[in-house]
Amino acid sequence: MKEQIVRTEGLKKYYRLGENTVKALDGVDFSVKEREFVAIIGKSGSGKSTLLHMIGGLDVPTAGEVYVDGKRLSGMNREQLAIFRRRKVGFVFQNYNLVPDLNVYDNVVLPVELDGKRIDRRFVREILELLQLEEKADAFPGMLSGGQQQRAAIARAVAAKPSIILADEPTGNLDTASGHDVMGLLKVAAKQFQQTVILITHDNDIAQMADRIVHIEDGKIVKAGDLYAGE
Amino acid sequence: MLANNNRKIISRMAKSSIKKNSGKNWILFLSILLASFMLFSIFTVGITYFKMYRVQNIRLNGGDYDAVLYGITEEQREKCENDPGISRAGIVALSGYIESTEGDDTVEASCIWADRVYWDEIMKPAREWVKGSYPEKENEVMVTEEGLEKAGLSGLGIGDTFTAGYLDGDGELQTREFTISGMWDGYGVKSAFYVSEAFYQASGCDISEVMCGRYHLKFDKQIMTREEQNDLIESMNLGKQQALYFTSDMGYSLPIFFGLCGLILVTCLCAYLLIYNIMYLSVAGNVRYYGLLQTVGMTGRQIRSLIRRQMGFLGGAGIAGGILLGGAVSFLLLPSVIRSLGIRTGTAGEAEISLNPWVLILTAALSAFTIYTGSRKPAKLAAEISPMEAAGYRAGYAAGAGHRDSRNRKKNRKRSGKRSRKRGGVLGRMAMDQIRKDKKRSAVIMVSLAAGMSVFLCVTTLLESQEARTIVTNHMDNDMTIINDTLKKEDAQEHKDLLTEAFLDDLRSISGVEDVYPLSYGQITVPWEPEFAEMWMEEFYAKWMNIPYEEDREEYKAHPENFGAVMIGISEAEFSYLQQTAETEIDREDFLAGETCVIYRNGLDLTAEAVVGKNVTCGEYGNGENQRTFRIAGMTDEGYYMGPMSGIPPTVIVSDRILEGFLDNTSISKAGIKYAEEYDEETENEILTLIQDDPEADGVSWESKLESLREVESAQGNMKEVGTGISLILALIGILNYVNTVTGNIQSRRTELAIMESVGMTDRQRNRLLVTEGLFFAAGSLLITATVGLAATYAVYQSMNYMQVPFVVPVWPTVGMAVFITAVCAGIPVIAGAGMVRKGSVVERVRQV
Repeated sequence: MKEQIVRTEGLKKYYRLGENTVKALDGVDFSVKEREFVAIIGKSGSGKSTLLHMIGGLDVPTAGEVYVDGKRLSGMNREQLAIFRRRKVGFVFQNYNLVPDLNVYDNVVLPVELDGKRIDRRFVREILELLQLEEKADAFPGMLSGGQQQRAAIARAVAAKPSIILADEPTGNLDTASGHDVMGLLKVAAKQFQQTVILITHDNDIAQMADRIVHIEDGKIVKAGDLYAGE
Repeated sequence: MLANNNRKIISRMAKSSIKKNSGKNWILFLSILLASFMLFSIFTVGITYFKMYRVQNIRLNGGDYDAVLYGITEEQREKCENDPGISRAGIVALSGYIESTEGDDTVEASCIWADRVYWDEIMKPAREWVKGSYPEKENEVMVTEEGLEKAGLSGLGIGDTFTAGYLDGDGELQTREFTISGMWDGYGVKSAFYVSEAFYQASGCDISEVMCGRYHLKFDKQIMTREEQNDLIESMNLGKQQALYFTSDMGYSLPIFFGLCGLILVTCLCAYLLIYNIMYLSVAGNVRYYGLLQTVGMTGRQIRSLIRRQMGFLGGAGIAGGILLGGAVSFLLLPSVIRSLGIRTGTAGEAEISLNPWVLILTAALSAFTIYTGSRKPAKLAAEISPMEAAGYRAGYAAGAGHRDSRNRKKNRKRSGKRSRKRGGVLGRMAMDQIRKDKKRSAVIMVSLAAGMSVFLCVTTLLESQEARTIVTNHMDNDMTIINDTLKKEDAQEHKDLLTEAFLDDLRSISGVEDVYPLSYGQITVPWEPEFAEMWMEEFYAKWMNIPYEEDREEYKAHPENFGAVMIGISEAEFSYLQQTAETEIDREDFLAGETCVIYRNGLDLTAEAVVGKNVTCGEYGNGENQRTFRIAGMTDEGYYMGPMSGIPPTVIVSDRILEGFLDNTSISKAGIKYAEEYDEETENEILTLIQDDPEADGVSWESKLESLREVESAQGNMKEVGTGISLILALIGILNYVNTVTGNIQSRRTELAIMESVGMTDRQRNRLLVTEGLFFAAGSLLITATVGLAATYAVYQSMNYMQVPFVVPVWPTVGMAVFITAVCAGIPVIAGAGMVRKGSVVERVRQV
């Protein structure tokens, strides 16, 4: 049986907005198994991105706990969280977030280099080939199309061989064809490198490519809506 | 075509944009304010500094004049009086020398008659107070308390009388009862007794003689080129004995002016770079906003006008604020700081900061010009960028990351491939890429830092050279010289051997005394011979005497004893110093063995080539049989070796052992004393006590380096403090520029840094990246300072170095500056980075545009 790799318990994130309190997450209990491909869907402002950021250690919860690979994130300081991110998590953002001053290759190996590890060149080449980027290794982000940039972001996310890939609307800025293309490659890469994927999208077609779909509404998981793809 | 009346909307948008971007605009406003503040302060404080500098020179010269003519003919006087370029011409006549008074029989004070122009106009700025009136009757004198004390007349006041023996213009000893008609104090020759015109008329002196007349000239012009000076000298038609000397600051006025212009130029450059940098960053950071404006239909011209308007608001406010702040600091803070430092104020020009309307105009004009040029290019950039480009624009300087050529990228790729194999190399490479990415911006940062540092270096080096301690130099850098004044008496019977071996031993036994250098003296004759003696006498008569040599030649040939001369004996320890003052190489062994001697030039136009190798024969005074011949090894201009009195024949300098072996009657005329610790007050007091305890104390006088230092320090007033203030302000410009640029740069890279943080860059790694970048900037700017800056400093220094002080870069301020700049370069990015992190979580910062 597969182990749970991500687990949240009573996760809350409240923001103060003037006089009001916005409950971005309001007691989320959620888990993901190893090598699972989970899509979180919900309307804009439902809290799906916030949940992803909490899991990735990019943001701190108001209350509750996040466990990733058996580690409790709330016990970590900023330094430990940064190290956690580069070792355990690969991020794919909607607007790619590649470092503009580094070329594709350097962007891809950045987390590995930041970790002070030796670069597995064969592995990097393999990733670039898989994501059809071998010709673009020397190109800078500003010279690539949206789809190419997103593929480079996926390559960066898998390069450090993290356990989990967190993808926040990776197809949001792409046309349908490129979006499906990128999703296919993300899925192939995750499978090939045995990674767990948590994907956020508001596109049902895209969500259908996941193993499981989780609905989130007003900061809460709609349990009844937890569906496995095809159900 | 009808004009589109859009001024209102643009003006409204400009105002709202300033309000909305309050953070950025605050930085921009502060930069303009600081730049104009610095320009204003530099001009105001700089003008004050140079006023003080003039005051110092006026005090050191004892009057406000630019040139002195030795000896005045009637034609020259007429010419000067009619010359429209000469604003003042004052006469001083040396009308005699007081030799003794009832309180001291070894007085050395001149009787000076000063005409009304000199006394009332030229000398006035160097005086602190005057009581009584300038002498009118023949027996009246005007004195200082110090002069009275030196003449053994302490305690006398206006209306008191004293009797003094003095030598008149014909060399006759006269005795007269004088009445003190007035007293004064201030700077200049304070030991002199100012006398009336009647005294001068009766003295037998004539201002046409170089020994008597001094014509002090003050020009209308502040600056005179070397050619103009030479033209003036030429037009004066000077006689052989006459000389026209320019004071140091007038003599070097043009180089000093150029040096000053250089300093102002660099200051302006610093201020310009500061404003330009921050303008550029500000506009470049807002390009997306301008792109958006274009999307909604704003034309390029409207955008340019919008930016100009914003700059107009900020610039106007910044300049006004800067001038007000500069005024407050210059006029309120600085004088109070000076006062709180316990520095004396109240006398002419000491802590006065003066406002010149030109400073206001120049500051405003320069700042406005900088704002205009600084915003022109960014405005053009903002207007030209297409809305689509703007959407993808990341703030930077010229070309963004996407605009680099492929060659650069390939280079980068190769580099990164190599570096990737090395652990931890990524940060260094990224830091280097940051510097290289926008070479222009990096160069601007480095140059502005280097400019600030170079000016700091230059000003501190100049200040060091203006240090009272540097200005005060004595013979051999001795701390004190004790002089046996009795040896100056005409009557040899009155000569006393006061600086005895026992006295010198007492001096040496004082613990703070490191060494004592006695200077022996004896009287000699130099018998006529056709070679050297003839050549010397001809020159001497032409230069210094009023009668032709021909009239005296026969007498000299027959009776050399009527032409007494002096032989000086130096200790072995002093030889190397004597060597330094001579133009030719002197063989030590030959000199010490008594084979050679050195001649004191005495202002004659004789060259070393004409004299060296010739022989000079000396006879013992009063015993012409005892003769000795020396080969001349060199000539010296060092006045210290002149001896207590000088004759017409040459002063011959030999080793003291040779002198003592040769002459029967020798005595020590001077003793130079070096302290273990320079300027040691305790040692000085012990020596003074020793002198005063001697019953013959009246017969000796002393020159102390410590006293001279105090004199120069008091003449300088607050020059050093003000100068240090200037250099600190200038260094601050460079640092502020760096702070602004780096803060702006990090601000524009916040998304990039947040992205790196999101993929696992730790705070420590970010700091390391930013520190490395900072260190590159520090290294670059220090390199520029050490090369170009140092060369410029050297050039400015030499152009202003009229005192011929050797060029020495002050070590500690320089090291301090380098360490401080490195710390600032490394520290500021880290602080800015930390500030950025505090502004939100990684997610928030990644989302920011």
